[in-house]
Amino acid sequence: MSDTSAATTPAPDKNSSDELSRLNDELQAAEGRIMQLELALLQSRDFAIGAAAEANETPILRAKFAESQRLLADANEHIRSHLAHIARLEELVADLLKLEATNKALRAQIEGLRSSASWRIGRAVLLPLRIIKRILR
Amino acid sequence: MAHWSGGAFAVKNHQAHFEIAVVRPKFSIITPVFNPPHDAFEKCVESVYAQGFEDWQWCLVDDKSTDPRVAQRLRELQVLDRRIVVYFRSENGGIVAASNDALSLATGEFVVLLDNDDELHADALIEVAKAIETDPEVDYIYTDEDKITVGGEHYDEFKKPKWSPERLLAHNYCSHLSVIRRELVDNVGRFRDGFEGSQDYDLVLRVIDKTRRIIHVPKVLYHWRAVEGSTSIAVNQKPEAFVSATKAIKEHLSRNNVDAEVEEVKPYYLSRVKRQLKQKPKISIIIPTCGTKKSIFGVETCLVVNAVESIERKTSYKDFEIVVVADTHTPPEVLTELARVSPAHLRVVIYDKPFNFADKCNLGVVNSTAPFFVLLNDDTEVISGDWIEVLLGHLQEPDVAVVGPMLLLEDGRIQSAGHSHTPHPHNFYNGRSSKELGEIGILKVARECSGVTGACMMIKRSAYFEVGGMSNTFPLSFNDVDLCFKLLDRGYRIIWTPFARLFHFETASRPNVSTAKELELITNRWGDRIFSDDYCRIQ
Repeated sequence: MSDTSAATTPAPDKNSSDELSRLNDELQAAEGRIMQLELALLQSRDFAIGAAAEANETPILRAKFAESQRLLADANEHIRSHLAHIARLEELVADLLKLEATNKALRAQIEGLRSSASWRIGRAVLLPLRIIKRILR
Repeated sequence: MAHWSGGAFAVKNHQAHFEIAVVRPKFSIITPVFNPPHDAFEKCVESVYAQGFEDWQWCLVDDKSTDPRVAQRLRELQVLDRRIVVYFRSENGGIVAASNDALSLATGEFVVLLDNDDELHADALIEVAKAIETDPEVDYIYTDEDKITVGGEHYDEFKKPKWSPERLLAHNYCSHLSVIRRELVDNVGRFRDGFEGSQDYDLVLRVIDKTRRIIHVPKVLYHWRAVEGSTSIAVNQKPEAFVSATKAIKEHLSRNNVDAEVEEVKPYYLSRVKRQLKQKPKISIIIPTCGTKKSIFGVETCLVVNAVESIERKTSYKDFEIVVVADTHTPPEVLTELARVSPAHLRVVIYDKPFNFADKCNLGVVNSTAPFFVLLNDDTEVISGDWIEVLLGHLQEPDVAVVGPMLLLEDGRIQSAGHSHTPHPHNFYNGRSSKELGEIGILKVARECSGVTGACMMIKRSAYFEVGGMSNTFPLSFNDVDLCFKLLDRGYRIIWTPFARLFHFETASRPNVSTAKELELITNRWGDRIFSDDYCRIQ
């Protein structure tokens, strides 16, 4: 056998190693891609399961919401009746204040009358009569 | 001699039942009788007559009581009510023989096991009947129970978990009140000689070989009388009962082809089932990290290096890989140090996105290759050398998807004994002493739970992929709670075991705060389930 075979040997080796390196790169890229797909798969499944779980909870939440709305309506009605009651009380207070003012004016009138000269003269005139009355009693 | 029938309870006129005598009543109450304390037996009688549900038959078997008042009282009861059937044994045969004689008298659809000094709650039969209505095919019903003193004071309420077969292998947590379909009791061969003291445990273990139609009624419907010499006071009052229990567990495992040893958890008279590994597959240990340093045991330590070093130094299991998912800003010297402490097992994956714990775990999982993997926080340290064997043992069961260990804080207190959702998601027994027994031994037995912390959980890869792994929706908190709910929803069991221990230097690597947004999201997904827990009903 001539030496030509030895001379040509390095060429296929280099090709093989290039090919191996290329295949390795491809393999790594494929593995990376698989991992990405696995991650995407995990995420998709989680979204699906999460959505289904939320869907299961929706009627319960709706029922709770309806119950909350009913409670809110009750509370609003309660507040309305309270406000009406407060308004009635305020009216009564206003009436009371008016009466108090009238009362005050009348008291002032009476005080005025009592401190007048004619009242005092009358009291003085009637003093002996009051004393006799007290003795007789 | 005192006359027994003159007790506090006077039997009411039940002649009405003579006309409506039922051929096949719903319930046959089974009570072997042997020299019961007078007052306790009268209370027992009273409790049966107090039942709101009246379609019952009471099968009493006197096991040759030496106290003549017992036979006299039983005869009276038999005459007064046709629903009461009494058999007098000619010789004392023990609890098993007497119970089997009582079963021979039974004609009801279900048998109700009642001891001669205990009491039924007035609603016991009605509540059980309601449970049967929800699933007419049910075979076995058990309820909560409490203990009652001779003076009638109630204590030690046992809020039992929902059906927990793993826990049942540690102790007969179902115990009282147990109601079993009579046909099934007959099929499995009734009570067995040689299991005295644990004959009911043995019966239940044989019943569950045949059925999984089991209902737990979460109400105290049975009051177990604490009398001297009873196991209601302490299990060690009847050590022979524990021997029978161990035998019953071993036979149950053997019938179900589970290769395991049964060890005693001393001094509590609890059992540990130590499964032999059928195979020793490769395990991936996935550790998300950013190379944080903290003071541990007073020494400034790189958490992930410490965790990996402890795995390498202490783990007895040989075939594992460690996948460290490191943030881009992890100091290069940390990665160098990791390569030094774990030259043969380590693989580093770089995470180049904003922090998301769930996403980091998922990246680690897709970069791992094993059929079982551990999600492990970097602020952990292995304590038990056989931690992988212990966790993997449970995952051999086809319906178990996740197993979590006992996690301890730096000072030895409990960081997590599984999750509990009562009244909100939290680490069970957090901050309590690891030496505690816990309610009815809950800290000393492997048991089912609603979840375990993501700080350390071993997961079956197939189950993880089936439910879409950890949800990126929860970047910081609740990702483990959500994962466990997804698995439970698919019928998987989650096990927590105290027999594998690790340190978890909680929140050493990141703050333990959940955002309002995450709480809203988890509530939207799982509703009220995150605020109540059928496995852990203890507050």
